[in-house]
Amino acid sequence: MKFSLLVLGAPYSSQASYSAYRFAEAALANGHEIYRIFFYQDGIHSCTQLATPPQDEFNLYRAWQDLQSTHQLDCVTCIAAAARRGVIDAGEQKRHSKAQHNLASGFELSGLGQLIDALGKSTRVVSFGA
Amino acid sequence: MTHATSRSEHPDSLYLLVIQSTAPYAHSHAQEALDLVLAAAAFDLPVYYLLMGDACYQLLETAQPELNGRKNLSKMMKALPLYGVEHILAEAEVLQTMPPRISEHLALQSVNAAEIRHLIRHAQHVLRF
Repeated sequence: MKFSLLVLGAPYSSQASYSAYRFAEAALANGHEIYRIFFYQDGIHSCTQLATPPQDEFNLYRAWQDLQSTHQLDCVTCIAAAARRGVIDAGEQKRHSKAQHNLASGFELSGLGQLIDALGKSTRVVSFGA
Repeated sequence: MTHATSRSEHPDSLYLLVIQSTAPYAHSHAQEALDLVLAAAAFDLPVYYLLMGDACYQLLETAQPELNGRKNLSKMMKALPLYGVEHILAEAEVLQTMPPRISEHLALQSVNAAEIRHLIRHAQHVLRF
């Protein structure tokens, strides 16, 4: 089955991002395909490279990056939702004249068209955090 | 107000159903649900936009969210048909309890619980905000 995931809830303050991560991990382990993981609303906070959980806690940010890297997952973050919440890449940093950028590697800023595309090309789209 | 059409009358065999059930100005759910509805229309994906529960208060023309530093969504709501969003629905049970709204500017469809079940059952995808 070809899945896409929609992550809507923030990491740690909700269960959404962790549940999505575990779902993706289990789906891939069972031979399913992940077409795209789209981060929207507060879900975009999973894509920052600055968050640093205590060392004795599960590092969900690193886990997402490792999963993306291992399986070359298409992890897309809504650019408007991310910019509104302070997660930007180098291009947005320059465009908005900001001092820093903080989008973690493995994630890409793009538009809602990527979610619409995933809706059309996936067998199931599973949302987390609604 | 008209009622939602039955499955056999649906012109769109595949459609996205966006359900919003949260109040319009309590957080960003409404604005980002609207953004998604507009994006779907821009990509020619048939979309049904259903307001349930507190989300129906998004139809009030008397709301003044600017006083709380929020963008007023009523203009976006009124513009939906211009962007090709033809199916704007609201929960009938809630509409009956509400004061005057902006329905005269919208082709708003009132849907009951059975019709909502029908819409969910036959949607290709359902996204809830």
